[in-house]
Amino acid sequence: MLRVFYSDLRFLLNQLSLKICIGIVMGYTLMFVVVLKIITLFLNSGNFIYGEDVLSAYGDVAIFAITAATLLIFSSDFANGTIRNKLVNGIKRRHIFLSAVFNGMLAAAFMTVIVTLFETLLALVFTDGFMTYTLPELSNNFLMLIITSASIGAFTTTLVMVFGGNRISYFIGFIIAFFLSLIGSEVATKLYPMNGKCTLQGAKLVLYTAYDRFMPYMHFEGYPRWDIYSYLLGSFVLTVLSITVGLVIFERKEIK
Amino acid sequence: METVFKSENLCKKYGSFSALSDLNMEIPKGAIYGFVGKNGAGKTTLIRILCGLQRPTSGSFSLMGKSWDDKEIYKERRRLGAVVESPAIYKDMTARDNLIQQYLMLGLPDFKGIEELLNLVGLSNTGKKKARNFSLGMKQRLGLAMALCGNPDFIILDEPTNGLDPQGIIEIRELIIKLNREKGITFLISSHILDELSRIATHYGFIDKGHIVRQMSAEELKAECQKSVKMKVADTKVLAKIMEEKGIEYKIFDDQNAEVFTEITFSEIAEAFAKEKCTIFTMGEHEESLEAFYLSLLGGENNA
Repeated sequence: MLRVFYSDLRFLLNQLSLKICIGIVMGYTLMFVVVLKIITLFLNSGNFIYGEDVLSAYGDVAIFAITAATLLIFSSDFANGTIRNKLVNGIKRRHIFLSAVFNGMLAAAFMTVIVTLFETLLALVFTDGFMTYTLPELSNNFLMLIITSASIGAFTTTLVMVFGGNRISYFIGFIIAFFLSLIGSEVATKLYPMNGKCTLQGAKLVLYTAYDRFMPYMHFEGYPRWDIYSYLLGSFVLTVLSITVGLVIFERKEIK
Repeated sequence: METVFKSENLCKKYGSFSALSDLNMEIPKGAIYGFVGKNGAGKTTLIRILCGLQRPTSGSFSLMGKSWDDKEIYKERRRLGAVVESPAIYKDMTARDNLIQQYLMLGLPDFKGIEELLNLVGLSNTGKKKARNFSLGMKQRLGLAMALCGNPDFIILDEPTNGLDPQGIIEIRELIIKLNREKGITFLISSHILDELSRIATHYGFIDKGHIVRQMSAEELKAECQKSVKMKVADTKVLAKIMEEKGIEYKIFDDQNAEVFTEITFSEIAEAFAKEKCTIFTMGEHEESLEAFYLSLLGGENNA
């Protein structure tokens, strides 16, 4: 298992798609800051940019960025025939699957670390500091983002492994990311309205709150609102569910 | 006879379509097994099942003596190397890095054999060139080198000369023969180039509609591909007399043309004709090729 994991990790670090995805997200973050700076300087003079504004840039695109990166990386494993090669060489299916999922988690976490560090650097250079975050909160948020990203990476990698890296995996991956973003936005708007108080009640309130608290995709929606244990639990459940269901399907999957 | 692969009534269905139907096949240890059949005959399906990519619907097979449903069969697959359909390579890596990747995956203790493998397949000068920039022939060679990692006992090659130039085809052919003779590696080769296959194969399996139509050794095929000599002489009546005296089978086409079915010594025949004062105008050896045999066995449409 470890040798497959190591060989997959080496493949991951050599992957052009991962580097391109990270580069695009960093470019997006930089553009976000530049546009924000221009608006502040010329159109909204007198206002300040805060570190929190810069840190929100990755959160807006993280779900799509992680989905794209993991889909690209692991679908190439199918397209290049390397999954086939592993099976031919007597590697057990569950080892192939677990190694891919763990590497998907690593890829997502790696991307989050690099982009968040870059955001922090931009925040230090281009902003007037953090308004609400203290240093422990910042590190807590950073840790939470890494864990959440890893669980989303596990989910999207499972999709690729289950659907065999074909176009359906891309379609389903992005459709899921898109709908979860929409749902996330809806839940956040209803729970934390810009004006007035939350009007949700009863079962709907419980459901929305539980979704907001435990669904890893929600952790990119605005500032952290729950304790790290809630985020940990949500991410853990998504990861375990992805692995369990994915393993059952991949063990029976016919590979072309 | 020791076999590396043996199937019994192997069936594979995709919905209502039967890709393999009661397939019985044996690959003897140490053989170069030429696997021949039309497009869609079931060659790749069988290779996929053999490699563990797919499961049979019914029937059974054994690989290196281990039954396909044995939980330990993956250990036998470690003795397997394969290039199925397209070479399995990491496109963002160099040839050397690809082989390192394969070595790591197989859990080999060091990378000592990599340079030798690169030399063997003629990729030692590719340097830092990424595999995505390789030509089809280079990818094919790299795929073969990957299949050779870890000194496998059994190698499966699906169209190994696909995309190779004539020089490359000769090199791969010689490499296969060398590995077979020197290391005793068994090969299963599915190829569209029947002439090329006939130069190396020691055994043949002809598949049609998911069923093995015929299995035979190269010697048996040679015997079936009857050799003949086409002759143009002054008088075929004299030819008939000589052939009957010598007990050789022949066929007369007209007054001057005939075909003699045996390997004959030209000088001996020429002497016999000289004694009868009959002129031989032309004499040419003719042999039915694997291609012709294949066509007669499976028919000629959509051959592969």
